[in-house]
Amino acid sequence: MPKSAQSKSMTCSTMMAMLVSVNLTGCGTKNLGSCPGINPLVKCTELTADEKIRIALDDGDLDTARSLLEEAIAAEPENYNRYPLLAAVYSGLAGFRLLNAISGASSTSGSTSVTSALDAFLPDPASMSRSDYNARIDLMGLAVSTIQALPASFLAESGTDKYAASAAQQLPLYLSAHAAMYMKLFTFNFDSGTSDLSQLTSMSATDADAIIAILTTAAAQGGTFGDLAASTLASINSGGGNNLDNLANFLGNSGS
Amino acid sequence: MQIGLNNKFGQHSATPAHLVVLAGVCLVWMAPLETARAKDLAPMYEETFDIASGGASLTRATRYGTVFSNPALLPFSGSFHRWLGSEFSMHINKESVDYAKTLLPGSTSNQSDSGDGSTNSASSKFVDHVFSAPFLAGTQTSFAYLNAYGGIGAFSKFEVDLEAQEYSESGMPAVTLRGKSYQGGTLSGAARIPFMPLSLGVTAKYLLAAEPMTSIDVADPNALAQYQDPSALADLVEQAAGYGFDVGALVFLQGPRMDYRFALKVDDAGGTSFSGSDQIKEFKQVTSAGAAVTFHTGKDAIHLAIDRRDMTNAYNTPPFKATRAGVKVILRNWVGLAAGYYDGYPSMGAEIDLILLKVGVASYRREISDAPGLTPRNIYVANFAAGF
Repeated sequence: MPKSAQSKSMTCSTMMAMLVSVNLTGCGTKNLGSCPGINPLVKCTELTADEKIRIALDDGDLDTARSLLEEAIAAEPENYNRYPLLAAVYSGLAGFRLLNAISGASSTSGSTSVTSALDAFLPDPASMSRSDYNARIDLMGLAVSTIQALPASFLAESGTDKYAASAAQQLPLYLSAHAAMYMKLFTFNFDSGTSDLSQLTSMSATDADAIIAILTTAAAQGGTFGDLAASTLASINSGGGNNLDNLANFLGNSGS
Repeated sequence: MQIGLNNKFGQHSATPAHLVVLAGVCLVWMAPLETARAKDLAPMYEETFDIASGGASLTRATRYGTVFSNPALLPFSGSFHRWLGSEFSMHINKESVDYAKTLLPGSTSNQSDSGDGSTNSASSKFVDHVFSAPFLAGTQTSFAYLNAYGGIGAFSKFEVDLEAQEYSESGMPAVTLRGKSYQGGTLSGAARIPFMPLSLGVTAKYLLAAEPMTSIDVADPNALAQYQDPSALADLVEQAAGYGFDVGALVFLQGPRMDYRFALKVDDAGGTSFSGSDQIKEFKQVTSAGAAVTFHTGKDAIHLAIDRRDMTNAYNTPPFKATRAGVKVILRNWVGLAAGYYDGYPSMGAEIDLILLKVGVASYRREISDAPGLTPRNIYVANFAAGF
């Protein structure tokens, strides 16, 4: 190869190497169009609230998704389509993954109570303190109240609207999970990290009434988990006593 | 490989008169048309080497991709014959390749799976993978004959994108299917304007297109039952048929070591109407422009290009998708290297010309949505072309 041609070829190769280097340094997950803008040639594209929520969810960042959804709902409270998603995020933060519950729904077919049906899908209390578990129960309560905040007219469209259908499906599931988590609070020793029925003595009449009320609301929803709540309620009420005694007997007998 | 230097092309110099004529042509073509909205602006046919260079192909394109990128490029091939042959390319996303690697015998992940002997564990892992990473795969084939005055060709492109979300918009786990199916034939003509560094080209195309998209809540028995009906699936992939035209212009100002190119392209001039499907009614007219500078020796070249697509906002294309920029480097006329920015993300690739067989690879990231960072796909492409 003549010296001049060789030199030109070298120049080309060097320039390519430089350009690829520039390209590689730009590698990463950030898009040139992301805001704030990083390239004067490409005007940045602002994301909508729903797009930011979607990115947070796809990144598995439920805390950010929760904040963004709460802000979006506060800004547009009558956009009811966001409520079922916020409820799902609350349940996810509580440690109850809808995906697990739905994919394991077939395994609930032999169950007659929400405690046995959902136990495998609830957060493991052994890995947390009592206050942490209480916080998760509160989050599950928020999931329930978010769905319950929807107007009846919206839920009435569950036959045709996928958001309304999702809300109608989620409510009995969250109510059942809420009740099961609440009951777990009195059958588990958070100090030793093991099941302990002696903890039932810490359950108050108010707690028992609250759990029965949640199960009653769940039973009224129908469907797989509504029916489970109804059968759980029937087992509890078969004791014939007050709510506290009946529930303590039920939990003591079921060994939850 | 049509990535050569056009070094047989005659010398030209620009004059003010030339630029006035070009501006006039631009003004006529850039008049926006109000038409219905189609679903997707992504190219129906795109060459691997052009993807690697960020998709900036208005001023320089590869083989059959020329008639889709800018038919006015045809006269600048340096010889009468340009391309006769067939091509095949495969697209697959990185996450699917990575997952497939874990299934190979001997892989660490595979050993740990088989170690516990649990089918449930393996299926649970698969479900977790499906809900954490999308799947995208596709193919593109073509057969074409091109020369300096035009060409004829046929192509087929198929792509499926499957994305599962644990938290869909409705709150329930859902699977979203997006498909693209394009087939068709093209007939192109191009000519250089005498005594001017300007060429004009047109591609007439007959298209069969389907862009199915559906999202199914996996917990909704009604949604699942809907797709157990074969007619529902048939409706989903119903193909639309239509005729349309693409028109292009190119100004080529050549110097001994440096060339300038300016391109204008109108896709679906006047709008391409479709029939036979409720999903696709029309592809709107899209006007794009590109500029490039090429540094070259006798057999080596560096081509730096930038394109601006959808200048009249027919599809409200966001700037990061409308701007395409990249570099193609041609070494000894048989090796091509390319890098660029495609949909706002880095892209790169290479192609080698083995006389009758051309092999190319590319890696790029495509943004499925119009929001940066919302639904990116990391895609590998491999391309095989047989011809000359």
